Amino acid sequence: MEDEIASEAGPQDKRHASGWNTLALSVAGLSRPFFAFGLSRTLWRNEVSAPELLKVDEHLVSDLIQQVENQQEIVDDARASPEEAFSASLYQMELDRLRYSLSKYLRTRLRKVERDALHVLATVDGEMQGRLSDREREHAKGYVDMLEDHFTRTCLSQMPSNFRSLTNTSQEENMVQEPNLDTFVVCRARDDVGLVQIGEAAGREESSMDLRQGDMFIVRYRPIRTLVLGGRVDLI
Amino acid sequence: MNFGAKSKDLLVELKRSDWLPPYNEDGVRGVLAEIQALYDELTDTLGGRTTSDIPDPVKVSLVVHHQALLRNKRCLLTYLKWRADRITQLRWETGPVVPQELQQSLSAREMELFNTYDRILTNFTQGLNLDLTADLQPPKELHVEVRVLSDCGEIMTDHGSVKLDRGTTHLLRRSDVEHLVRQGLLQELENEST
Repeated sequence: MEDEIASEAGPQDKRHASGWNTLALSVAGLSRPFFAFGLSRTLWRNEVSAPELLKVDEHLVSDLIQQVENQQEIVDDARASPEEAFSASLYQMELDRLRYSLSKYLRTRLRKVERDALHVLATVDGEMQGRLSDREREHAKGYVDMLEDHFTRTCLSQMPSNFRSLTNTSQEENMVQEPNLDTFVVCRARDDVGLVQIGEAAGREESSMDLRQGDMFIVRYRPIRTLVLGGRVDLI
Repeated sequence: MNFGAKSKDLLVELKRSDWLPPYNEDGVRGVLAEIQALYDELTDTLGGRTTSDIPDPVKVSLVVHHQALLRNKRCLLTYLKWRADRITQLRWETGPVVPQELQQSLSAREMELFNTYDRILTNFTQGLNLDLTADLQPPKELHVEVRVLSDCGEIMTDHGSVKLDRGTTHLLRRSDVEHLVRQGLLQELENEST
């Protein structure tokens, strides 16, 4: 996904630099908020559909937020002048959509961070932790501390000492919730991926699917996990 | 002794409630006492012996007691976690203050929990330049028509101030009144706008 985003962010920056950022109602002018909206929509749709946390692109997100702010100032100025008031309201709607999709994206992530907090913090290889932004990691720690403190003071401290752990994974009593990677998702290929192995876990003959650009499939998340993380497949 | 009945009752209470039942201090204490009793029974039966010294019939009883204990613990944590989830969810819905009528359902510790969550969430959103708790619903229109359910005084909009008296309806910018709608002071009128 990073490559894709990088290539998409490129021309955007150029436009930004060439003083495009004024409220002139031209066809080219309108494409920008739509464009940013499409990008952020892909982001949050993937995040909403994926059972696990995906990697965050902090720069992209803060960049988008920054642009929303800039744009908002321009729209605010434009609303004051009668001849631009109409186009300003169109822009305002786009901005609201963009703001919604951004905060929806961050909210979804935050909820997943909270849900999987113990799991994420417990993984040692750091791969999972690397998917979080610094801010989210801090939030995960704070959230776990908060719950642990709450549970300890309410009941765990009054239990026999060898039953006090919250994160006991040693036996069948696994207290750490993990994302279910075997859930079904709807996906669409961004480019020609080729053959993808699916269904080996079912004990049947190995089956595979031929994934071409634009193809849509309903599959388990696990076989296409690397493709989603690599940005070659979008979730819907 | 009917193992786990008390902890089951706690969970059933949650299920039957619309939002959250009042915090059941006695119930929680009862389950904790049961856990302690089970634990005492376990250590008594074990009596410092290693597993190889114990006859099979006793082992069975040990397993049952141990499993009952774990189940109680799990139910108790589920009870607390379920409540904690609702409480943190409340922070998103109503903002940094617990509504008066809901406060009586929470224990003092749970009020603390709410405040702690409020703090770490504020910490998260600070410097983000984006209000995550706004825009909970996807925007449809720039303006919404709202009916005032209880007096809110005057609010400032771009076009001057608007007095929100009870029973009146207004067509306003969504961003100006969204927080009031979420607090239940205004009602959004759907499909009736111009």
